[in-house]
Amino acid sequence: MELIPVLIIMIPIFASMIVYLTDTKYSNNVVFVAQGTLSILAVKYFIEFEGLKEKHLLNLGNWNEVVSIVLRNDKISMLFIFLTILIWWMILIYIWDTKKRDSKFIFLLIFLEGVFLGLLQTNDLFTMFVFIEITTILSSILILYKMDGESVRAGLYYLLFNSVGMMFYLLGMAFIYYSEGTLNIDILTAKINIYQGLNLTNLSYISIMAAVGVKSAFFPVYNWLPKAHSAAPSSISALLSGLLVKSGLYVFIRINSMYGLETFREFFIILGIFTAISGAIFAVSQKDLKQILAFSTISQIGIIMIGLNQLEGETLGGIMHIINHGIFKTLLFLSGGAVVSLYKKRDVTKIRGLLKNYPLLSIFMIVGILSITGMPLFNGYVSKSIIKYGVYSKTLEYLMYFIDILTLTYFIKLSQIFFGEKNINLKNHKLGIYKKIPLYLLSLACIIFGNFYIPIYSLFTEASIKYINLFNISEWLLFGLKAAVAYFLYRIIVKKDYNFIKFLRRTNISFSSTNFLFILFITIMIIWKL
Amino acid sequence: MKNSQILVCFSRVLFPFILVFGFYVIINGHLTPGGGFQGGAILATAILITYFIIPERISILTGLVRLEKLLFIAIIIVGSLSLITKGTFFTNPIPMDWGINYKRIFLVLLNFLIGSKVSLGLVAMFSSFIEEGRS
Amino acid sequence: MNPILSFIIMLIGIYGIVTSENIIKSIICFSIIETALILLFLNLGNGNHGDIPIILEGVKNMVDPLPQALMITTIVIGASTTALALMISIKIFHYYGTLEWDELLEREG
Repeated sequence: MELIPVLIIMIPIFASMIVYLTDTKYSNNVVFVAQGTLSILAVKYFIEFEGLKEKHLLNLGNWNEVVSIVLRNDKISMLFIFLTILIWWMILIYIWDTKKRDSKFIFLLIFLEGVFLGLLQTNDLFTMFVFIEITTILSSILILYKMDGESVRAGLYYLLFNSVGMMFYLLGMAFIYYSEGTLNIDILTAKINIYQGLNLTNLSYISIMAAVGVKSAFFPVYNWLPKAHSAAPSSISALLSGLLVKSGLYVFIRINSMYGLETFREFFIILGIFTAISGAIFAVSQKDLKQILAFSTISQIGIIMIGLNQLEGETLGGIMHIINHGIFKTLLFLSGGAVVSLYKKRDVTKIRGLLKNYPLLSIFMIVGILSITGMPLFNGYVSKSIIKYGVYSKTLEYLMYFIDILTLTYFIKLSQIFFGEKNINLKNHKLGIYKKIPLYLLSLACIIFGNFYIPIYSLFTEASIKYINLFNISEWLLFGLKAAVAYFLYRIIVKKDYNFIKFLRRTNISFSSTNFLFILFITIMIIWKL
Repeated sequence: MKNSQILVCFSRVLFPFILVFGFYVIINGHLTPGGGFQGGAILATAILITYFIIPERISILTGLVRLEKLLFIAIIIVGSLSLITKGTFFTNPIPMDWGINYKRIFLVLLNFLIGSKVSLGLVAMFSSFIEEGRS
Repeated sequence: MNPILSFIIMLIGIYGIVTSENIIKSIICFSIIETALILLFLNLGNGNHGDIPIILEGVKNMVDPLPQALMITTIVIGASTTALALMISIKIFHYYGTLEWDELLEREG
């Protein structure tokens, strides 16, 4: 019972090794058994420690706490662990039929799950570095799994840029070790004192935040994300967008609570606004289905950043939006992948007739679109309202309405695939049963999280969220007004496809300019501190 | 592709010195800084220099990979010897009241196994690049 | 003296990555930055100029052994990332016929 955190990490790793070494046709059953054991262990761990009201530490090897490896679980990490297990179940059911004999793919996928669960539980800066690097290497192999020209290029860009970013994490760690003498997060939380000026502790914070910025796609350094998420196979795209981008945000939450710094709060809110607006503008100009969804991920990360940097104790909106975004972005990518594999095209202006040919698939996709744009009765509305209640100035609230209108615009552009006539050529292509089950379960999760959020979130937090009213008439009217303005914007500007929009679609930044933007990012943070 | 004569000549002179130094760092790991990993990296450098000396070497890649797997199993077996005598994993299996000369056996053996495994691993990784470029 | 040297090497590596046009050059500069950081970490415990961290008779002032243990893992991670990046660049040359960053982002596979 005490060793459950270690078992949660080790069970997927052993199962993946068994699958790789014995290459039989029963590998799916091995994976099913391993994943089922993992879920039962996680639930049992949560119930046994009474919801983890205080954190649970597990010291490996019983060494002194200053130098040992400690695993730690509290409410936030349990929330992330449950989200991880849910999304991995969905991905495994989605690829049950098509990748049955492919033992290398299953090996990489299940190994990645074990490493990610290890990342969520560490209490130590160096083990966090090791797990992030292993995640980078494994996901870059998974991105270029198809081995055609575009995937290989995207995989190399992703690998090199993230590795350069993590070098700055190592630099910040060197500074902290020199001034404090330990690398344990609990001891450092009690020990760090922040003075003004430009001493070693502030420089270490800036370095680590630069590395976290590369990993979670902030404003100047997000160029790896559209290339990687649109060149990968569709199940891996769903995994990357739904979950692995959130690993950077998890490290952000941990490091912020460790330092307790106040000067950078406004900086990150402004950065979040820039990320959201630039992501939305680029998404409006794209024509490829997966590129629209990839840029929409960047835009939602901007909104999460605004939510996570409120005053102390009001960060529930950001964390709730992380969970909700994981669920509906996975739903959108999986159904988008099904559409691309059925029509064999990726251009939004050429695919037609989804509603008449595949009514069930289009219902799932409509549920996803309504969740992400924030319609009441779905889960996007809840988290966005909490974030909107928390901002402290009126201009920020109007900017968030503007971001909502842009989100609606590019999703109206995406929803032109629903209209059209019934096509006789596609009658032979049908959607398998294994692809329908995860879409159904994820849509159900969207609706449940949108209505019954109070009992679910009362297990994990003590903040009260009773002030959100689902049946307020003014909220419905506001949503209708935003949709009308977005449709107006779409008809006038986007449909004509001006030269400016064509220019935005074709910009490509080379690797050296991206690194230059990275150095600029660090310089701006140093100047802000002075 | 022609190698320069100076490089070939000096590699021939340096090769036994690097080999001896690598073995010295591995075996004296419990007395001086160094040990398994560091000595293994030096040994790998020594073996890779022979690609300059003998340009047409026979490839022994599959034999190396098989030997590396056997060494991994050997490390696990030596590590779990202490389960029999003391009850915990990966500690010294020799009892505490014997002399220091007997307790050194475990350290030297473990250093040697880790050093050879590391060097074989690095040689396999880099020689697969060279073999592919040659064919 | 020693931390300043590793900062100079790191600045050389960063300059190389910002102005590189070839893929192999970027990989080499990444390896240079990594080496500089490993040197910086190893010099941290050396402030006392003490002895080696092994308990013998007459040893009082020991160098800190924790960074040395952590850097072994970092060297292995750096070597495997470099090896993987080199393998991917072989495949890129196969498909695109060039190894420059600018031409790579323009051409089609």
